[in-house]
Amino acid sequence: MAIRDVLALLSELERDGIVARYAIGGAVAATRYTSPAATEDVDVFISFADGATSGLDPLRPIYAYLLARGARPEGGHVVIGDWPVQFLPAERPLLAEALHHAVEQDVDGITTRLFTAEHLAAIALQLGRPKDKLRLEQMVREQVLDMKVFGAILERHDLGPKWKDFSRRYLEAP
Amino acid sequence: MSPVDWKSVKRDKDALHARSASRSYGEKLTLLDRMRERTKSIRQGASHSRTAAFKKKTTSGTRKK
Repeated sequence: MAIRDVLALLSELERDGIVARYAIGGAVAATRYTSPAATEDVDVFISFADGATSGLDPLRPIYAYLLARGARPEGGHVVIGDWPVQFLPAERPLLAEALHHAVEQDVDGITTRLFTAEHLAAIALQLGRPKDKLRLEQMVREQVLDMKVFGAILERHDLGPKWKDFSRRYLEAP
Repeated sequence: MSPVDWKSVKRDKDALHARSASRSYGEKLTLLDRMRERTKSIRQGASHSRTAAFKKKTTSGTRKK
């Protein structure tokens, strides 16, 4: 089962009302804008219909739906075919905004949804792990960001100082 | 050891980027599938060699007796 099968199943998950909206983030989404980088899993950000997150385990209906379709749980992931998929509620303001502005992408007849390059870059900056810094550096170097849009996101989420520090450390020539 | 030709490294990287930029998302996803398969088989290979090395070590230990 290839990654296209994961995309198809995600689309069905939303169509059948198990989640209100989903979008792919992380490396799989970044690959839309940059050279592909190897990744271990697919990060899927989700929102639920109003009131549907009141339970202790909001991911339970997603797991039940996917397990009935041949997926299996493994650690914090659900494995669809060969791909571990991680479902993350888009609760923090930046993630909620990224989910709201995510763009549709056609992959050989399957419609999926991806975070924009600018939101991926802002999330990478906010998280700040080594792999996030690499992704952000790659996006800047490959000039895939609309810097005006990116700047507005940074401003809205108070990421300006972090961006200044990142630029000074990793982007300015020594 | 010969010195690194950074100009050629940058040239190769730019060429790779240009090739990558011309690929569709579908093609890039196929590449991700392949990368994952390769990583998996490398890990399995490493795990098999570790098991074989462990078996060799433990059986050679019992043989001595």
